[in-house]
Amino acid sequence: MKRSAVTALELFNELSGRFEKLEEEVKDSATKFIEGVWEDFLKELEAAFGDAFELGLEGRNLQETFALFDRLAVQYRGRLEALVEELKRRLSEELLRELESKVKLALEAFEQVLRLLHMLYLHSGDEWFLYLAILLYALYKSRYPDSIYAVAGLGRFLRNELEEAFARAAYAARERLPRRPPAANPWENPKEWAKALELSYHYEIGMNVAAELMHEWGIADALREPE
Amino acid sequence: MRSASQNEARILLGMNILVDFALNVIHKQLSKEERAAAEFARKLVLLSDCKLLIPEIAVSVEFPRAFSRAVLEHHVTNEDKLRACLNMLKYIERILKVAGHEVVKCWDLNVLKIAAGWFYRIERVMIGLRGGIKI
Repeated sequence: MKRSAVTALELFNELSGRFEKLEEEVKDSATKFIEGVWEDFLKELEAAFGDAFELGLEGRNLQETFALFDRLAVQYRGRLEALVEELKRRLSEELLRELESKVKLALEAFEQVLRLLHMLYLHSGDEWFLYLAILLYALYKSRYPDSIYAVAGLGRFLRNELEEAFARAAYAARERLPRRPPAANPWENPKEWAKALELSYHYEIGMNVAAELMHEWGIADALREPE
Repeated sequence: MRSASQNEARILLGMNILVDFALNVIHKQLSKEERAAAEFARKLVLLSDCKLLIPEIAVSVEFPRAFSRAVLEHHVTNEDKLRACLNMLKYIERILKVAGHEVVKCWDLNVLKIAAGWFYRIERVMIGLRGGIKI
């Protein structure tokens, strides 16, 4: 990924003093927003592809979900693609809503949303921000028609089923993850798929944010210098 | 470095590689060698097949020592920064755990045996590279 327009330090300083308020607002609004988007998404799918939804999406196991999405992705390409793009746009807008306009201008890229979420995680220690960042990373890395599986991962995230959420999202981004997923299918080995996604995220996003801050705060120098 | 699943190959990780892992790989001031070392360590920890054995002293003593030293020397009193520093330590521990690496006690018979074996092999290779001994 390219170097970001706003450094981690600039972003941290911008947020300093109002982290708690922002964390509370982002968590509350993002949860409601994703729930709303997810419900809309399901309704849209049901309206467009009613025949495929006779069993409903929520009740299906991982393998059945993959089979269903494989079918939908081929049959309804244009409609699904538009739905996913709309979801990405609205998520970025919603997550950046609380920021000052100066920083927001430099944070337009979807990747910057991930850096913001990672910073909220580092400050609060609340893994909810990390999980959301990992799922959005998969959405960011995926290409249509695979991105539909990352959206399906968000649905599992809302139900707190993290391993399945990550496995679905990892499948969406499988072609572009730096850590190659296992040869087995996601429903056969969801744990390893989830691991591949999370470690890829740490490699491309998480550790870069942390290392940037460690460098700027003199921690990296202290690590290199003997006592 | 891309892996399908972790195999049983094990490497005892020294403090230096863990430090390289924490370096900012995109920072302009890093020398070419430092950047290469940082990138290698990042790939070794996050993308490789190897199961790393990380000395407990590196994670539980050296890293917290460096963090507290930086806090004291830079007079950091900002609560947001202090909180992020503490959580960063937990974050690094989390990464190592998710990646399947193992934090080991240094004064453990097996760990010392592995370390001594690896050190011997590395030393032999280094001597060989310098043209001293054929291996």
